[in-house]
Amino acid sequence: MEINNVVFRRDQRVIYDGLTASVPRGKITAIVGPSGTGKTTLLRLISGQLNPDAGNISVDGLSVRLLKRKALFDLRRRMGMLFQSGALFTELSVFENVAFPLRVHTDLDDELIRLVVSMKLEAVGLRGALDLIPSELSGGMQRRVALARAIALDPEMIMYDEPFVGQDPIGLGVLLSLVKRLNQALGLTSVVVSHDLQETLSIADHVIMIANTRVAFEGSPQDMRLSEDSLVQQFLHGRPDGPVHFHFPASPIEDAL
Amino acid sequence: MVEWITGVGRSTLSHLSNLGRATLILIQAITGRSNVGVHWRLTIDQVYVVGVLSLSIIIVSGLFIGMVLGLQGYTILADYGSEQALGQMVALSLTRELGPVVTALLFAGRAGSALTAEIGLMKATEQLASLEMIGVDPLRRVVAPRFWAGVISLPILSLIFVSVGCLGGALVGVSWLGVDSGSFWANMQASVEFSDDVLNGIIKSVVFAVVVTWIAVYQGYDLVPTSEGISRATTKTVVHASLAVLGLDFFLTAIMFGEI
Amino acid sequence: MYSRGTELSVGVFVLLGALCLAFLALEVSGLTQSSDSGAYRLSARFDNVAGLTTRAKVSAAGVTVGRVVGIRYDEKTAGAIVDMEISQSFSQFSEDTSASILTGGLLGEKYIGLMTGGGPNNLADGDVIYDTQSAVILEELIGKFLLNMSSEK
Repeated sequence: MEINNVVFRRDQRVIYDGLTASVPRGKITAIVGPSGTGKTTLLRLISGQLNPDAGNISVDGLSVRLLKRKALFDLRRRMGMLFQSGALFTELSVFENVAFPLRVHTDLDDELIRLVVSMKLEAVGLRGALDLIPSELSGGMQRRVALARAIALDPEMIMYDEPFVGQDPIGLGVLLSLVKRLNQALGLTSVVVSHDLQETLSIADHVIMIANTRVAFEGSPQDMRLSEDSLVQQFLHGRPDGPVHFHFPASPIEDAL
Repeated sequence: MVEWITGVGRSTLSHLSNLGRATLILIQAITGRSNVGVHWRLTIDQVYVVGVLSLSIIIVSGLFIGMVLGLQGYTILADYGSEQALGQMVALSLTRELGPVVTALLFAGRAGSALTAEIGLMKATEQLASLEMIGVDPLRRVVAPRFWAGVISLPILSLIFVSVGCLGGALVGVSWLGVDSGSFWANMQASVEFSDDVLNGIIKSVVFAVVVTWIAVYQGYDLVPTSEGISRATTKTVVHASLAVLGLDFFLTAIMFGEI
Repeated sequence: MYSRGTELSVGVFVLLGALCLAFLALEVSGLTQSSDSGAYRLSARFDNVAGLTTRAKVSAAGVTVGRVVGIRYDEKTAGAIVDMEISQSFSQFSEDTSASILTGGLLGEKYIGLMTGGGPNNLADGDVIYDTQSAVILEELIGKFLLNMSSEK
């Protein structure tokens, strides 16, 4: 997947100005960066929910913005996406949630759907929760169910939007190992958007760091740790002041007093 | 002065673009190929939510409005010694005006706001985006069934409202105030024309149904996905829908009944 | 989410709507009576029918026996011909029956009152009543009243 010189504005604010990066097939790519740099926006651009103002994003040789609605939906079938909140359908049971993509896109009979859903839920360790409704599950479990739903159609690529936010250490460990295992077992191309840097770096093969509307760093996690770039260093070590300022731009405080 | 004119221009443009987006959403939702079997079931589900669950409020308000009409009409008509025209008055005001309008207003408050909040919540929790990622168009899957359910339910609710209202009027007029039952109904039947009054009432009701449901689903689909955005969109649905109903009612009445 | 209960209540809801439509059609707007198969037609010729409308009721001794179905101008006699549908169950109107246009209350609607006579034969489908009394026109009445007042002085 290639991202070429993408420019994106929301109203007057420039979010990306000439973003260029690439995501290798079959690897885990981490997209990191300070909050508010629009990492989630990038995922929406990749999946074609938003269109860039300029530049081009191509997935597997197909240019996303030029695709017709039908072709876009076909492309999305090959992508899975795990949303920040899980985004399970609240009125459906866990089983129906995971079965949903299968019912929409395949003609499998109920028996087969039951089988596939059981397998997917087994993979995330929640087969026992089959008949519960999402609100009866914890946040971490909801995310795992959503993950099972995202892989229901055996996609070639899966995108995670902040999968580790608000997880206790155990839930975090479970999700980390799941992401890693799915990637290895299914040969998925994985894109993880996160600002939980250490956790993400521990499983990533490739890192793209976004800051100030551009790519600040692209390469392997090892290279990132060795990078001399002050911005990368600030982010890695969590220093309060540096290229990203502690103070929101303002006039000197002496003037205000 | 120039500032002000610029302001007028800006708000005009933004209203126009809102209208355009709303139209696009509606067109995309109700046209195009869809899985009829699945969508029919979803629509029935929604008829239950927006129609059946609104029944109680419609029946109770219909009954009371009919009774008030009976009471007020009686005191006024009695001054002219024309109590027997009570049935006519109750039935005409209900079929022509109060039935479609009050039902639409109640519907906007009861079902319209709920539609907006529900779709808005689905947007805020990324369920809509998630549908898109699964390759299902949320306009067809979520918006279209709700739209059709509204268009089907409101005229039915309106018919029920009018019928209950007439019975309420009869209850007060005939049973309590002693208007002769025969002349009450005969007068009503002589003055109410099925094609002019009842059918026009139904047409009004269908128009209101389209407008109210359209506003509700658009506000839900287009809102800012935060809790504040949802509450503001819900309010907007009720306000816009009510204004639209009352405004449209004048034009429809002018076209149907008034020979202006 | 999709259950028999939902299906059933939606079904009841739609049927209730249909029932109300039927109620509005039959009870409120009285749609049946105009297409009553058990009815026969009578006509009556009036000099003036001002204020009478189609679907106005036709009554005899205060009981509704039928409905006005048409009003037209008759060029030959320079009067108005009113077509009425009378229910089959009231077929005993004699041939010298008279018809008059009456008003229900001071401001009420106009209707036709039939007063049966004593003739041996009864009116049949298509017959015309010529013994009629026209609508009272308030303006004429007031005009006459004023005229009388002034001539008495």
